[in-house]
Amino acid sequence: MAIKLTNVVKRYDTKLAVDNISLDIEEGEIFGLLGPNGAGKSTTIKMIMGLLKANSGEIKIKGLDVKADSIAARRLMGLVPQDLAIYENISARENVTFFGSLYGLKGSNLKKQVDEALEFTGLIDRQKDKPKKYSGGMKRRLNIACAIVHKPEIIIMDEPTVGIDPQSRNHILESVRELNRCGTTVIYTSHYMEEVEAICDRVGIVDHGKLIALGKKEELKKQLNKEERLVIEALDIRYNTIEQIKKLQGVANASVNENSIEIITKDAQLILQDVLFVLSKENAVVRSISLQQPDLESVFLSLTGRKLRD
Amino acid sequence: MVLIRLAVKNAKAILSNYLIIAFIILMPIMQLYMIKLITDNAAAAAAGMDAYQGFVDIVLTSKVNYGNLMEVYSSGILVQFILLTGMIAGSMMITEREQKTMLRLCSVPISKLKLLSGMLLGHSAVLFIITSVIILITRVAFDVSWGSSWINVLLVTVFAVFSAAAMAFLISGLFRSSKVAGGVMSMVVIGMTFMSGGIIQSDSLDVVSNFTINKWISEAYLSLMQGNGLESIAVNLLVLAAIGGTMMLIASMIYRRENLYE
Ligand SMILES: Nc1ncnc2c1ncn2[C@@H]1O[C@H](COP(=O)(O)OP(=O)(O)O)[C@@H](O)[C@H]1O
Ligand SMILES: [Mg+2]
Repeated sequence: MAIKLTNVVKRYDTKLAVDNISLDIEEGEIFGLLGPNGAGKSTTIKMIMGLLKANSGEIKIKGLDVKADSIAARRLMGLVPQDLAIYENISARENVTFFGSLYGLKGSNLKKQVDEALEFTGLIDRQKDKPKKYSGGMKRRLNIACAIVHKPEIIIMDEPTVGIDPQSRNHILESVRELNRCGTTVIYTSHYMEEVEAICDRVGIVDHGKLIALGKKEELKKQLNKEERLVIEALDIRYNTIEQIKKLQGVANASVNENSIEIITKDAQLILQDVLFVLSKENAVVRSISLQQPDLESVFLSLTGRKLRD
Repeated sequence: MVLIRLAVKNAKAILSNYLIIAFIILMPIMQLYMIKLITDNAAAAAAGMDAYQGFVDIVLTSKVNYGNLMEVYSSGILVQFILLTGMIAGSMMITEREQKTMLRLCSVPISKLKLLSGMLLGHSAVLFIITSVIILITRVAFDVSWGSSWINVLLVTVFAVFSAAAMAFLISGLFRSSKVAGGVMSMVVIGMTFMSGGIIQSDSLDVVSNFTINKWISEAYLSLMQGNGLESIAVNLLVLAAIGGTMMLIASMIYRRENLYE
């Protein structure tokens, strides 16, 4: 077991940010923590890193209690914070070297591991530049390099791809896989279903501080197998239309995203007529109708009645 | 070892602001140069055997009963720039939070105590270097005498650096934004310099001046310049240690909060 959370609760004043989460993360897996903004992902990560104290509950990192053995526990981990945490006015290499040195690395060993971290994140050619001159994607990669220079057993990435171009994002996702292939346990938080779907073995879905689903991603989707995902492309969809569709018998949940309506149902055949009736009554122009495989987004929709990025 | 690395990193971070460092070292030197020009001219104009000393007696009110103008201003201006450097160090610690590197620092396997000590050590080193450079330049360029014992000057400098570093630490705990801290603290430094009698002397400021760090530091330097020994500055050092210690204590209490990186 790499990390074990037991009944962890965190309040900010009156706001309950993490609501009694229990969670085991196995050694060597890529664990995805999926949830919309404000779900409590970063708060959970900060408690695992010992940056925040839980109000109650227990967190163990390879058996070490984060409160009692915080320094030993932190030595096993590397954190890629959600917000960039790099010095803008010293070179990328100096950034990585400084943080590496704080883990007790020195001399040729430090130099070698800094080289590797910069190589790994594809920054070695630009290592002498200050991050001021970097693109958003390069800064994100430097943010990762600073966290992996000491070769931690566990890497925790808090939304490492926020606000970057698709190419950098793919580079980062590929490097997460590569780290994992070398035996590193990875915790990856995101509000992008596609990312978690692409790289994670197991997924925990959080919403309003609660862990609402946990399991292998196939298992989570299999739970929905009894359910079908009907996607209707249409123009002029009104809010009212969705509300009516939600009320139809046989509709488990429905949501709208620009010009597409997504409906989770036990039997698409059965409800299709009713749905089309509502749409025509509300003057929506239907463009296409399709039955699709459920994805993690559908899991979230089915559990909460909302899209991840509402 | 980690402590030294942190200290070096933080010292470098301040020293790499070449413009600011140049300003902090050159400004007092320029101010002193102007004062020297004025006093020299005045001395030349007032022909007479005691001209130089006479001028000083006129310009400085009776409150100042020691030293010549250059000594009074050297110590006064030096202190102002020690505090200014402390202020910059303080806002650097706030910047560390603003750019989130403080959060990363808190995630490495180092105790908070070591982390903060390392930073303070680095800032103190910078304060010490800058103070020494200004003292040396005034000695060489303007022939200002800092007394007969360099050890005593060093001692005053150490206490001055301690109180300025403590002030920096306190500022960084009190303010969330480095811009606000910078603004407020320049007012405080200017205000303290004014109240301490660094700019003008007056009776009403006499009492108030006891509450400024400036007074206790510059008075100690002045006393040494006058050729007095350690016993003459013992009270000053004690007061500086007390003020610095109190600020350090308050700051560490502020820094006890769990999310000190925010
Ligand atoms: N320092 C804080 N003080 C008060 N509330 C906070 C603080 N940090 C986060 N929150 C609140 O706690 C909840 C969870 O936040 P967070 O863990 O950052 O979510 P996520 O990372 O999933 O977006 C949100 O409602 C957020 O507004
Ligand atoms: Mg977050």
